[in-house]
Amino acid sequence: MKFKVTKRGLFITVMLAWPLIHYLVFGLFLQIQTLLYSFKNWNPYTGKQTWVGFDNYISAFKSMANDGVWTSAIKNSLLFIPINMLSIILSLLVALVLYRKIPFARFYRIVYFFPSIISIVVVTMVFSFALNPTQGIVNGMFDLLGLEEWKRAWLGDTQTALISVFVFCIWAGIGWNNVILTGALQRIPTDYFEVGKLDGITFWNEFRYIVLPISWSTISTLIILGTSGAFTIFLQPMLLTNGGPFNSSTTVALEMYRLVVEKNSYGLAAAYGMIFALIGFVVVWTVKWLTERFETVEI
Amino acid sequence: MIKERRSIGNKVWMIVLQILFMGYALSLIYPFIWMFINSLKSNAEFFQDIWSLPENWLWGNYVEAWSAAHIGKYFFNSVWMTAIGTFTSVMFAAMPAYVLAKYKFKGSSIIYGLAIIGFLIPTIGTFGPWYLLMQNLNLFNPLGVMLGYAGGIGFNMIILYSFFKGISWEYAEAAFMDGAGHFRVFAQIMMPLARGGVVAVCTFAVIGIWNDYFQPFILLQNSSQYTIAVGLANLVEIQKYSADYTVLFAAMWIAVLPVLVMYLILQEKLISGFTMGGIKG
Repeated sequence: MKFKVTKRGLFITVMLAWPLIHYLVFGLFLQIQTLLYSFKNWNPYTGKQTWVGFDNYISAFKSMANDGVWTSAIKNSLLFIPINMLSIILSLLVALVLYRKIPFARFYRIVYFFPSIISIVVVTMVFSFALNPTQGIVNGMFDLLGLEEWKRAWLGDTQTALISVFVFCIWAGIGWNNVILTGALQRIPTDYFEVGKLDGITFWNEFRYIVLPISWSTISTLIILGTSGAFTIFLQPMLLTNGGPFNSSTTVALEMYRLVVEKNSYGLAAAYGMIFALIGFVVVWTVKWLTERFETVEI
Repeated sequence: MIKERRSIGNKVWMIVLQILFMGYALSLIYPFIWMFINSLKSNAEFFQDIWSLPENWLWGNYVEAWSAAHIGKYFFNSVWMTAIGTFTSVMFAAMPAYVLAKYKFKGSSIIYGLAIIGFLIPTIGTFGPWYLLMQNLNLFNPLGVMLGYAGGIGFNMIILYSFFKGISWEYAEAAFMDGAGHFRVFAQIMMPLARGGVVAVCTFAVIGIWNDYFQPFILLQNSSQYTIAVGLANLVEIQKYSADYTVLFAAMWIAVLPVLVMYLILQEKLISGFTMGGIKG
């Protein structure tokens, strides 16, 4: 077999070279490393690596069953799936209402998108200040309303910390989904709505027979991203509560990050990574399969 | 009669909607205004009453945040990192996107598949190997952060791919007839024709990189290299102990103001940049 160097072939090679190298190193190579790491152990003092077989997996499964930190992390990460779905549903409702050009619709869209363009550091900081036990807006309002017994250390209370993180994710996340969904709605030809209106279509039927089938590809993408996002979320709890108090608001990804940065347990972290990548893979593909059962319309 | 009742129902419905929508909007805006008001107070005044207007407007808090808290320096770091990061990330996404969309060759669908698979496997375990790799390559510095942005095969590529797909190949053929090479056709004809997609992807990149916290937080060890997001998070940690909240509020406002102004001027373009991109599964 003989290769001929053509200008065309050279062009394709040059255009693809860097992106492929980057992908091979930061995608493939790191994935393989993760697999190898999961069978190794690091001596915390000398940094020496030794092969330990399935030891990491055994201790990972043990602590997933017994260790309160991990059971809490797994429960919380899984709870992020319904929370992300709730956020998508609320965003869709917002998008549908704003699409009808109610008064102030443009103002609302601009304001709701605001948390998406400023740094998560700022948004979490603003939110945690609003919830500050002594100087915060929320408790201050309860004071003004005479509802002192409602006051709480929201982010420092095991009963409310996780809920506060969830509320944050929805509060700050609606604008982003809303804009993506608005884009999908705008691509629906307006005659569809006009014909519907002439037939006296109800809001629900319009939603069911026009909006949902046509923008389903966008909605299902958001659903899939929301599902896989549940397994990788950690910045929000890290910046708001640092997973506390007493690990009540920690997530799987946050605990893995801690294993690496705080304990240098690269092997154990990699074993968890493999386990959750596998679980996540199965869940995400199941959701993807489910969303594809739904009838869609190409326009 | 029925019609009248229906329109009253609609009106009530509309008022309820407006209250809900306005309430949510205020919950997003008011904390920022509250922080601005309190950023002009002395710390003692803030602890006395969180609702009052400042007795004396202490603009000195802003001077202190800018100089003592180095927000000015971080701001400059963020500007150049965002500029370079946006350019490289969009270029390295456009190159494979164009080749995959317009040239047929063995393995092209595999490369496209790589980008899709990236979304569907939640990768979290790679953090440890990445951490050690970056350490071994001596990349705990701005160069390492830049390298992270210069990927290419991923989300941006998929968006640009669909834009290139939609451009007629006749433009390129005409240029080839005139003796233009492949690179020239790409840079001078196809990239400008895909303007809409390029602008949309640049918007994603600018916002994403300006706000990126995690990679710079891990990789930037020297405080003189901090970006504004990392610097601000660091300031939050420091102020937790010294409890000098009003200066912290001022620092936060300095960090937000340029983005806020840019957003208010460009909001129409920014939001349409997001909507036109069109995420599809």
